[in-house]
Amino acid sequence: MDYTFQFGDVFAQLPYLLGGALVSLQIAFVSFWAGTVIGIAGAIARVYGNPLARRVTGGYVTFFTNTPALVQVFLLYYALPDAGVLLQPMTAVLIGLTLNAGAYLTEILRAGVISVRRSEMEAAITLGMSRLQILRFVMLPHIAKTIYAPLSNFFVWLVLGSSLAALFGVEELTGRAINISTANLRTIETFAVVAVIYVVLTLLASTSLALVGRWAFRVKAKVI
Amino acid sequence: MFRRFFLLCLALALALPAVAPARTLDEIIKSGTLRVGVNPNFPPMSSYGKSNALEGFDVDVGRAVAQSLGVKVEFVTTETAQRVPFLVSNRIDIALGALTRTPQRAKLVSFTVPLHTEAMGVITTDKVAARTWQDLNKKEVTLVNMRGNLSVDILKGKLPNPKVLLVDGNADTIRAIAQGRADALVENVDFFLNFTRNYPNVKWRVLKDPIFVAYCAIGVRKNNEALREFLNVLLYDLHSSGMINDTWKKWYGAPMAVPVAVDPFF
Repeated sequence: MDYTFQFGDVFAQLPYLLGGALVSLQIAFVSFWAGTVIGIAGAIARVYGNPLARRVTGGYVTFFTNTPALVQVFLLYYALPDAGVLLQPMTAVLIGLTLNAGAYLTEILRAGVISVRRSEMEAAITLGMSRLQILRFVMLPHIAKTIYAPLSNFFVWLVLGSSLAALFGVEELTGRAINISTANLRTIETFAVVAVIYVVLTLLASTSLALVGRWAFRVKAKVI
Repeated sequence: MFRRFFLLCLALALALPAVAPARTLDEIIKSGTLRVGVNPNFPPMSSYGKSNALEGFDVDVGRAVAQSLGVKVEFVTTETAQRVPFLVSNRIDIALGALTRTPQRAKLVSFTVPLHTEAMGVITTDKVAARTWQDLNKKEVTLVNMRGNLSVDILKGKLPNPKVLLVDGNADTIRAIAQGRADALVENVDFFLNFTRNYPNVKWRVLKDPIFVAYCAIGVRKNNEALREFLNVLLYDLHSSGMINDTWKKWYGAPMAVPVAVDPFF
């Protein structure tokens, strides 16, 4: 009566699963960096912007952090076609997760922007630095140090959250896991293997983020 | 970090063998309830009706099984991909939801004699010129299907050329065709035709000639022999009394496309 575990059917499909893991990483990577661009702009607008800009970014953050990412992608994928915009599965997922990440990263980065001391900003202006130079040499190093931990947490969340793409026809890790477990019905074994792949993915992700942090901003982050 | 990772793997390895054994026929009767797995989003097999209670073919069959056992019925909702995991992890005693019988699946769960058949046909629109299902075997055609449907694998052999888009639910497949994401769905037409009502402006077409016939059975845990034997005997009675076909007609408005041939020996 007892269940016997058999991993053979799953291990035979390992290359197929790893191909899906690559797609998962791509989704997380693209939406993270595109979201970071939105996040930097949003954070600056929320801290230094005029009342209108603060309102608009505030509304954006409230909307996207208070609705599930799944619902956001669902609307992009299935509701937009009725308005004449037909997004490909991958495009819809990337836009959805980018907008979602942008909202969370706005809040995370805002904490970093606030951490920049007023005296340092004044010193930079006195030195005649341009706005871009101030951003690159004064603000970003501060921001990076303050928000390093929540930022890498969020990237890990994105790697795991990319699994929702399976519901919209993207063949990433979770989608491929469901595909093969449909045929072999070894669901527990399949998802046990997939869980280990996800752990490896997130370890890789946080390691590379730590390296980027050390190299670009001299953040003292543990690599492993 | 690595130590934590290994601890995690260890915890996972320890958690795996903790799968509970299935309930035997005696234990089900003693407990007074039969747990039946049905799909909540699968009209007219099973779905939440107007009164917000589960109704459909599977629900009637589940009730008949429980009644004959003399126990109460408890419906547990499972999505397509979760039917067998729910059975394996002992959350349900029997799995319904058009569980297609295949040798690969039979290595893992036990099947009763067939409950009903599914004849695969094509749902498409007037935008696609195909007259038979063979006409769909072109590179520029996109077939939509549900992740977790066995027909995905079978179709790779029958129609290898088209692109495949896998979405989440029955309604999503029809929506994908209506919105122009896909050209056709090859599945049991009866299961999906209801959803085309949401898109009355689309000119739907059905190619009925069956591509292949699959048999759906009631799934039980591997080696749960007493329960399976009971269900086989009961299914013979339900088939030969006409209960199965009448119930099918009641929910689908038409007889089963390919009826199950009843055999008293199994």
